[in-house]
Amino acid sequence: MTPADIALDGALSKWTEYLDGFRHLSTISDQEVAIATTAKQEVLSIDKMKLYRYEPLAPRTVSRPLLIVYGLIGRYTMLDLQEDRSIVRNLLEKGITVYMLDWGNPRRADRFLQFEDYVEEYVARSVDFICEAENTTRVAQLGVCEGGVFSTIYSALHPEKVSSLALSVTPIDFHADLEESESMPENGFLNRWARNIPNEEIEALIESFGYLPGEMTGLIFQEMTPVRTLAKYNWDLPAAIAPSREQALNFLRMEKWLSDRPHHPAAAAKQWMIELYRENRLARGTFEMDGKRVDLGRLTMPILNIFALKDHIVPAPTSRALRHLAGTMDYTDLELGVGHIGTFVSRKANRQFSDTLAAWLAAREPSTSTRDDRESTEAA
Amino acid sequence: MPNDFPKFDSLFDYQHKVVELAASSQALATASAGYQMLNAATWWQSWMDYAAETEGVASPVEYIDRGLARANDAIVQFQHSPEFQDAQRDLVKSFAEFRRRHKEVAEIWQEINHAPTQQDIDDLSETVYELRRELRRLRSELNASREETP
Repeated sequence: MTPADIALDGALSKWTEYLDGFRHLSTISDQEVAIATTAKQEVLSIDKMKLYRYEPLAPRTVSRPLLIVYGLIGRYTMLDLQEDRSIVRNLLEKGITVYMLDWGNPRRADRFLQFEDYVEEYVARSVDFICEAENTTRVAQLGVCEGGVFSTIYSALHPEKVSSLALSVTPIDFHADLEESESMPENGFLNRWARNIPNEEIEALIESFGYLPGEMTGLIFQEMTPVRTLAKYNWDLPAAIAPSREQALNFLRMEKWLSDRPHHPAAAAKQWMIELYRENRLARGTFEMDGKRVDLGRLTMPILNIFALKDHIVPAPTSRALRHLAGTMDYTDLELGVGHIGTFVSRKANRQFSDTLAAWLAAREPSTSTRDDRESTEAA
Repeated sequence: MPNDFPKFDSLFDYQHKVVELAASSQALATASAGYQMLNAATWWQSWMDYAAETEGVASPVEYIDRGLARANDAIVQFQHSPEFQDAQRDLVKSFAEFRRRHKEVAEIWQEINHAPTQQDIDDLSETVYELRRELRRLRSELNASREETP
């Protein structure tokens, strides 16, 4: 083949891919791009927060209910993005009772909400509600990303109410990204961003909106892969939508999730960016909630720490650091060879995540003789 | 109008706020252009370097794929440089300043036209927030006293 033939062949091949992709797109309606479809009931509502209880899909095998706490960046729907890649559904099918916190859509009027409110009001009241509803004294928690920080803080302040703590892609030592800044330069953009902008500029930026806009966090994430972001809807598009209609649907589900970025309330955003990202107070043991110091040494419950080795957003060392800071004797790491979002939506990682978590929870079931649930006390 | 233009009482300092908004808008445009230029220059340099290495590329599609990947890596690497970080700081600072100046001018218009300002709403939100916190504290104290009561 001559160079001209090769060029023509390549151009035709790319053009065919575009046509295939657009053919798939033309048959898909927005209604079909459904996410978070697993059946659930709203059981508690406080301000804009909602607590959901998922409908069981199998007989209960684990007595402790599991409360999933997502962060304020992104939406909990990531854990139930589609039926065949749903952490929530996988857990329900294994007989685990699942509750989920949804923070709703914070606006400027919620600008004064801070970590104290999220942890000591919303998480705490949800835990109390679940204990009452499930007739137990403790719940298991799964915290995701910033929600993992909420769960970690809650567990350190109220260890008596947490039977076990699972975390996924949760930053604990916000400066540990420096460990791999040379070997993995693509990781830790947000950590560097926060350390680069002085406190007063971060405050001024957040104050100018009254929140940290979801669109802005989205832009920061897009900068982590700058050229890929620019090529996403043109050069790279065929690879996402051409191979099959099902793949085009997967792409659109992710687009739907990405476009739904809630704003982050101002006061909590300042704590997140300044006290944690810049000043690293959680790992240093100087983070305070209403004057109470958060001591990670009080994390004495079993801990499962799940993180991603290719995570651009939460570099693995920032999560891995918990091993040396938590006070527990029962600590397990699960390292997944994917990125931040791949932890939940990669077919393999999603399965590994769910199977490991379910088995880990089951293995930490209280025995009849040591169970401290109310019903066993009453039965005794 | 220069920033040191004398104040006229009858204009309620409005002219200064408009000038400051215009200046902040210009500063934002400059910072944004500087930021984009740095990234574009890195991308351009990456393509130039890559263009000299066409050996082993099977097709134009692969050529572009590899070029984009190279450019992405080059910009990611450049994001670690002091030059990029300075531009990033300038952009964030000028953006926040522009929004602050914009708010000042908007609030003057709102006050003139008998509309509540953003600050008025913020003050109300803070009051509601403080009341909620107080309610939470009282509820907590009440629960504690109930638990203590035999």
